[in-house]
Amino acid sequence: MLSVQDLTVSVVTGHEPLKITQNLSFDIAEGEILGVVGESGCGKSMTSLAIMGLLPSKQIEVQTGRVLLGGADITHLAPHERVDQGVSGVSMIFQEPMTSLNPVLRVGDQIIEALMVHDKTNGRDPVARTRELLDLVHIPDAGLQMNAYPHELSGGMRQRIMIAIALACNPKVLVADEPTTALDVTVQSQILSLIRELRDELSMSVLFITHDLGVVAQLADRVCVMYAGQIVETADVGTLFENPVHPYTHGLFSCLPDPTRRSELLNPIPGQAPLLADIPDGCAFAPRCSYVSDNCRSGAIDWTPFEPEHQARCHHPLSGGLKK
Amino acid sequence: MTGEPILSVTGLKTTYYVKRGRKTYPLKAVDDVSFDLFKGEILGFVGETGCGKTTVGRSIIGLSKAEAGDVQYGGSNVLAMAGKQLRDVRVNMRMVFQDPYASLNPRRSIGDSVAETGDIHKLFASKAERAQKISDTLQSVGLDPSFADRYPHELSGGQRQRVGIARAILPTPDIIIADEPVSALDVSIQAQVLNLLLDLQKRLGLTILFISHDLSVVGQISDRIAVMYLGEIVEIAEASALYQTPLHPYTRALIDAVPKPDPKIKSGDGLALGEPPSRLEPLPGCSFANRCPLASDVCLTTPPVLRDFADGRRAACHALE
Amino acid sequence: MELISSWLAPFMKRRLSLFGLIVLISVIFAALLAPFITPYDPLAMDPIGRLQTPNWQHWFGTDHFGRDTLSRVLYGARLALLIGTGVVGFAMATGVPIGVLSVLFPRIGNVLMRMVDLMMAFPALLLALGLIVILGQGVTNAILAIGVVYLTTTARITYSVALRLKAETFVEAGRSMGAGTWWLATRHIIPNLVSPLLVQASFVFAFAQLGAASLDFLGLGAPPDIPSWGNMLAESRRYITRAPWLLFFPGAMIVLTAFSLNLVGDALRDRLDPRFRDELANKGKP
Repeated sequence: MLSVQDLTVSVVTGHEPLKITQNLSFDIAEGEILGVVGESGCGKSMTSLAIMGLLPSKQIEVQTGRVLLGGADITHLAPHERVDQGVSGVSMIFQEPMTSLNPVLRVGDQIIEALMVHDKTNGRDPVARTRELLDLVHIPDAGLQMNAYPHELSGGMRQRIMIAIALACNPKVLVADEPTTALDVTVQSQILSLIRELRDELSMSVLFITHDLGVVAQLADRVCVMYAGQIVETADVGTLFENPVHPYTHGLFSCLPDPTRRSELLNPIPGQAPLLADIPDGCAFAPRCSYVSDNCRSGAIDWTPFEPEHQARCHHPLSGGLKK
Repeated sequence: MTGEPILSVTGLKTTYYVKRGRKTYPLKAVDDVSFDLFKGEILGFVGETGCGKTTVGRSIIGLSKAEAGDVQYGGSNVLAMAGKQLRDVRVNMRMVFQDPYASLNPRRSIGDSVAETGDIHKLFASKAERAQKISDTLQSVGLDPSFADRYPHELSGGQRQRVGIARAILPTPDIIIADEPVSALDVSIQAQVLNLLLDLQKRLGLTILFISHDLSVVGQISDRIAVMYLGEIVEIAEASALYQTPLHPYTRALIDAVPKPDPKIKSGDGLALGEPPSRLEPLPGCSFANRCPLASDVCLTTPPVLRDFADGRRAACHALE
Repeated sequence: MELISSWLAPFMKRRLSLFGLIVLISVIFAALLAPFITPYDPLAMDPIGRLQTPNWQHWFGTDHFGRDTLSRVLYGARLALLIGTGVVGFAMATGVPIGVLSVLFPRIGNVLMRMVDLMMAFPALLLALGLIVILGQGVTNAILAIGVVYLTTTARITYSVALRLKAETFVEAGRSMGAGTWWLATRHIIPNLVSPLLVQASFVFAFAQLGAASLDFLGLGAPPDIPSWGNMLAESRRYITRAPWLLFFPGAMIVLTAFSLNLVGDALRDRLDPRFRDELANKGKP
């Protein structure tokens, strides 16, 4: 349904372009939830903005590569162009519902606005359709809550409103950029449950971006692990959690706090992620990797396939599963 | 933990007053909280937004004004202190803040920020001693002494947080109140800083009040854990006991809701359905009653009290009696 | 050498700021060296040679008394700088403490800020005029009068910036470590005020020129025998059509000086902020 091919997003102010992502490629099938896991600065948010056509165009651009939605090339189309050409099947929800909602408009009006822009009322009364959407996201008392302002609602409710707005245009793909990171854990589990349910009911594909491996385990069908602008490992979720092969993925798992191993020291990954301008040649993770060898430091690293649907970009993939 | 507590909090109450329209509502951020802190332990305070855990930490050292309560430290009530006496206590009870970017003055060098307490309280006999102390402290948090001449904007988030810790431990304090010290950091950096805290605790014999919304982090690092909900402690127990056999329904809901990094274990999604009640017009009875699967009539009318259970555990729930 | 070059860096980055710096330095030189470089005595009258258009003997022409305009402009620079520094000094010395005290001691602060508001209710010129009426005419009184006008905006800006600073986490962190009010004010709040105040200072300096020129124009500032740009403007009123250079040169000096002060202020503000300092040093690095 969504295909990202060889996507390179770069900052173009300054002397040379700085690559935020390098030749990124992944696909999402219809009704599939793809989790993209990475820490801050790995380029995951920029990727989602590129897919949406929301890059701040004077400073950051798609240099090479394509984004295909159901086969149609939407790479360089701005959002309003997509609406005009009828290829607007991608919606996005963001991390901070408070700043993504207009504070001076009632939430019902904001949903209606989305309906109107995309002309997706299908001839029905927009208010009725809004009520339908609010029910879909399990907001109780839809008729009453439609007239609420964002600040009158809790964080969880605001996020549901944002999801309702995103659903207004009947998207084929939902891009979710850390939508639960700012929410309490009990509310988070409700929202994750909601996304799963919507996927089941609407056969919607979901690109779910997060830094939280727990969330990925709960929600995703397949996972891509990103580091410094590249995907370093991709697998279906069961395989990734049982047998991660890339040293970075391994490292991420080892530094997860585990309440059952109390007061033991964690095994953090030494060092820090490189700044955009300092991404080394060869494997970007080489400076921090315990298994590095000379051929890791230069040249592109090819994909090593494992089982079907599991590949990693590494000269020294680890095996034997996670140390327990 | 046995023996005399190093810090003893009784009946702590901190209230904010919120204006909505014409009326002013009292918001009980901390509502009658009592607990002991034992020397050398890491006591975790965990809870969701608005539960009051940060306010407890801030109230203990007087950054937030408590309106009632007794905080016994070194034989006196910290809450009754003011002026110089309070400023002196703050040499021994130190805070580490959540935001590594905002907690350092951008115009002061790292060395100046780390040594600040020493300068305020004139703890250094000479410039050389000051420089040495800065260098030693930076090294003990894993930073090269040359960082002393740098400025905050040159450092990464993890490095700044280490500076925040260095600043806190410089006068070799008794107690550290860590307010969400790793919440703003990436997972791999988080692990580094948590290790640092554990290491420092062992080496310096620190007692740490570790405040966080992240149950896994708190579970990993703490000896005992206090769970807070809407301004009250609902359960307090030794960490592994809390995890393995949580008593309070809210604790259970919280543990259940944390997404486990294992696709085979699905976390719950409905145990704590609904939303917390309005803080401005609180319900009588137990504050968790409207969301609790075990709620009964008494829960709606009478607030439960923290009762002692086996092994030093305490929990406040009618359903447990 | 490195220190000088680091201070010059923000000016090298932006040509406009460099222009401003050059103009400002020229004005300062003119003011300092005026007694030595003026071709004529600014007060010397030459009734025969009056109202000459700019020529090789008198680059800026002469006025209705035959006085050399160039010499008067150069001497005028002295007064301009004197007034500028005087006003800025006074406004800062009074406005900043008012602003800081109001933030540190909110109860007194309320009263002080309301008084400042009251003063700001008067249009600037009227306030200055009113003060001159009370104090009497003269350069020192002009400085005081304009200084009072700008102490209000300085106090206001100091207050709002300091208020925001007081709520910053690093100030709280200082408090949590046992810092008292004085320490917080001197180590945390005031150093972070320098940047916005420097920009404010350059504006005040610029407006002080305009204010002084207005007062001189009305005959309420510098006495007519002292060459000041404002006086020169005033005296040129009757000769605008016949001798426009009498208006042009002092007017241009006022504008140029004010403008260049703003430009320099912008660049200095960047230089003083440690966050931008490195960016300026790493020219070319992204």
